[in-house]
Amino acid sequence: MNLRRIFPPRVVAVWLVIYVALLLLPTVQGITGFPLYNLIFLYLVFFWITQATSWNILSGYSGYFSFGQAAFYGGGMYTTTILGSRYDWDLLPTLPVAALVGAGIAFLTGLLVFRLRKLSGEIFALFTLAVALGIGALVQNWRVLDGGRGIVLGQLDYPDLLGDTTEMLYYLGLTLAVIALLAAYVVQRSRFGAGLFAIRDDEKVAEAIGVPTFRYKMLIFTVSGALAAASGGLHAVQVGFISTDVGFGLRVAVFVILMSVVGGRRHWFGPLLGAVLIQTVTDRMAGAGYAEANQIVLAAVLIAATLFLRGGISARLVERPLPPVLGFVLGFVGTFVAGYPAITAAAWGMAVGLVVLFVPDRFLPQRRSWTRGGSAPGGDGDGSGAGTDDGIEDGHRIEGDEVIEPSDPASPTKETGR
Amino acid sequence: MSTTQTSTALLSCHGLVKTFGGLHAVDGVDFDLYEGEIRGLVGPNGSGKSTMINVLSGHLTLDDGQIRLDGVATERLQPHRIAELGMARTYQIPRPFGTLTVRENVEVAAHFGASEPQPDDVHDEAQRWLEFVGLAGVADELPDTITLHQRKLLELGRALATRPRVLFLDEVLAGLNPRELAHGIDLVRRIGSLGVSIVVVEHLMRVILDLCEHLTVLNFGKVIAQGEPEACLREDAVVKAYLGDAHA
Amino acid sequence: MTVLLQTLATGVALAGLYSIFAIGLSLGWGLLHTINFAHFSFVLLSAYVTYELSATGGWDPLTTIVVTVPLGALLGLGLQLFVTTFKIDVFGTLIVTFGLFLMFEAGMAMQWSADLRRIPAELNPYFTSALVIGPIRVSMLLAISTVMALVTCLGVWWLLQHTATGRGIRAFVQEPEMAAAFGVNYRSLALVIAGIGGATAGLTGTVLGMYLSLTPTIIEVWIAVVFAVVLLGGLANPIGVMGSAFVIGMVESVTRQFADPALARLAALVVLIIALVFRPEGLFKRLVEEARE
Ligand SMILES: Nc1ncnc2c1ncn2[C@@H]1O[C@H](COP(=O)(O)OP(=O)(O)O)[C@@H](O)[C@H]1O
Ligand SMILES: [Mg+2]
Repeated sequence: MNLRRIFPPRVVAVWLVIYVALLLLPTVQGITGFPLYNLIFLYLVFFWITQATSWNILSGYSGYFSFGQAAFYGGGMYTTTILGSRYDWDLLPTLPVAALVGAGIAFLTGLLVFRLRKLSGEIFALFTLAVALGIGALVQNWRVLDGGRGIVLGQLDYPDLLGDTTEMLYYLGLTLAVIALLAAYVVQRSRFGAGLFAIRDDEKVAEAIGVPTFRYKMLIFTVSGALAAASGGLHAVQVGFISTDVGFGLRVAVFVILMSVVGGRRHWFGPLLGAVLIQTVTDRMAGAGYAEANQIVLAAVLIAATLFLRGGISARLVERPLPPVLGFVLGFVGTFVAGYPAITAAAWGMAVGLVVLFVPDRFLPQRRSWTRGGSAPGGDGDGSGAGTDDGIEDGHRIEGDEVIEPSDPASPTKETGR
Repeated sequence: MSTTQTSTALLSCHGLVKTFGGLHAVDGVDFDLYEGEIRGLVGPNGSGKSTMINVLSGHLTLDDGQIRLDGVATERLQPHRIAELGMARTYQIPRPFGTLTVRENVEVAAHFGASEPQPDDVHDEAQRWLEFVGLAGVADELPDTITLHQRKLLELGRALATRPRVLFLDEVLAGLNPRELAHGIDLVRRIGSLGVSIVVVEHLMRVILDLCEHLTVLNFGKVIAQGEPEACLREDAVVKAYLGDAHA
Repeated sequence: MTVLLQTLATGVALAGLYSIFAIGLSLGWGLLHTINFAHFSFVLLSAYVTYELSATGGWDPLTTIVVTVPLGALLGLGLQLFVTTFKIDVFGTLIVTFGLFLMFEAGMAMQWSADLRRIPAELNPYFTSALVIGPIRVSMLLAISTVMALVTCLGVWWLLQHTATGRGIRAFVQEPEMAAAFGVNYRSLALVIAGIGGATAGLTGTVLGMYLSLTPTIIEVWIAVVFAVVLLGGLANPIGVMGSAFVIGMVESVTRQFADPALARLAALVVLIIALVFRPEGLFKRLVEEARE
């Protein structure tokens, strides 16, 4: 395996910096005392990144659209809850068990559905929904598991090293998100990912060129289930009172679908973008008491993204990373300096970034120089990750010498293809 | 017809049967293909040519009969296992992977395909086949932005990138203009000279006569003639099948 | 014996409710290539309208169908226009109507809050009274809905089999190009079907408005079982819908009677899962087979 091609040093460096910064954040919080709520908020962002990414490596990559995220998420949640509250397990060992349970549910579901050749995408979607609701109904009615009254999850033990509960959730949530993103990233760049993409576009042809479609679908489904369940297990601690409504309701499926569709299902960081964006918006709207209005807005965004934004935000960002990232930074810094809380400032930053992102191309001349320029500075955040990332696939062919060619007549037609 | 030579055939089929409901789409076909051969498979519309390919590539399960690819029984294998053994095909109506670029389409095929030889570098391998079929210039386009001719070439390039020993071409040359056709014929010949055994399904007799030393003629799922192209086409059964009884 | 008959009667009554709920979805999916998640919202909205008109307006709940049925039909038409305007494929409709479902849910939560809404018993004679035949009791409401279901499904069946509209739409689903060449105007026929589907949602809503204590999310528990009926029934096959509704209604009824009532829904889901595994095309044939690829 060509590790340097899968993990180009520049990309690794950028993401490592972000990772270390996030690792240090709780300590910084302890020293500077910025609102603790920000850590809780970030935990939720990590949680949704993990869930959405786990959904996307199955549904975005292989095209098998699942409405059954709750089967794995809820399965993991109940695993941790039952082991912790009835058998007094420590938190950490419950998470791998939760992952196993999620993997098991996914594996069995996969055996059922993928054995059937005739199963079309729509049926798969509804089938997974039925499995999630079925497991929910089972848990609700079965005394051994829940019996319909819900379970209170008290304090679970965990290593002191992880700090108080908020910090512990933050660190573990971050870890799971990193694992999920790493999985999504590696899969996307590997032979496995190529096979999944082929399955997504035309499964019969994929099989005919030699993609072992059944094995691949089973594998990705199982991995997806394991990730979702581990993250659900951790989330049980945050939720505290576990009921089948929380575990197996429609909500998780709604949000992972929304986040991935908006962020973009074909790229490993699509769900990341979607999760950050939608969790931020939801947090601000709910905080202001507009939960219902938020749901309406998000649903409208889902519809619009399905109709008009096939590749999601990520597809467009990959094409043109710099202006929206600059827009975000300006919006964020501007509002933050004006005295608004960080999350509100982030929301405004995103709003500006999005507006810039969707400025029609003709208002932004010299598009090619933007695109290639995006990988050069390599300074900040998601955007430059996107830029460099785009550069690698064809890095050794283009070698950056086309960077300063703003008026290349071939460039507009070439890149609007996507 | 050539049962005495079965032992040396690269692909050897015996008594293939495939029915749809009551319809015998393939009805007791024997068929041998030799190393390095370019074979024509012809017959009127609906005679079972595409169904033959679907059966051989594993897309459809066989109702009866045996298939040996270099001695390995493939009739119960999944299509991807058959591809690993070195069988590749194109589709009558091109079926590119729609969200992947032309290059990525070929790269996926290079990633998978025959289990040996494995390509050293998938990227280079894809580039080689893109150049071979003449698509290097549009490598970074999406399939729906290129012409039909180019999509057919993409079918070819993708099939070749799987490093096949046996290649089925289902009407890849249909619907091309004369210049494209000449290019296509030349391309098939060059593929043949790489040592790939090819089965060409085609309606245009000129193409078949140009390319093939051997012909198999199907009608209603049965082999009605086999052998030298000119001789085949003169046979009564073949004339009847194509032109109807009145002309025989 | 009585127990068996009672179980059967309950099963039939549930089957009526399920088939009238599922028929519109089944038509949309099988004939219009629209998997309409928002059908559930149309039903719930109609249920709220029935509630509002009878609880505050003092209407006899059953008469509210003169409002809910046209309302449902309009919603169905609107959706169909939307789908054709944007040329949304089957899969797209699933996501888009899911979005609509969420919008409706939030909208209804804003309008009616999360509190339980129920038509007062004294205004709701159909719910409180029962049809008694010998030893068997069936809720009057379920009896009425069963009759409605029979009439609706048979009517749709007749429409599809014996009218020009039905022939046209079936021809189009089977061979779009051919049908178009023969002058079938798909757009207007599709509107007819969409309108009928929506109207059945209005009808279902009125029944549920009398049957349930309404909350904005109450409809979620119906999703799985109704889709089960749709899938098992064979798409766009009204007789199949009735058949599969009967199977599922009986499974629930038997579970309620002889095992734990709480397990009834679970049993229905298990039936769906088993059936999909062994007969993914449903227990009943699609009324109209589509062209091969
Ligand atoms: N999937 C299928 N289901 C039912 N009938 C089929 C199917 N595929 C092909 N057929 C029928 O089998 C016969 C042979 O078709 P085909 O192999 O496509 O012919 P050709 O490629 O020689 O034109 C035709 O009558 C066709 O209608
Ligand atoms: Mg054919």
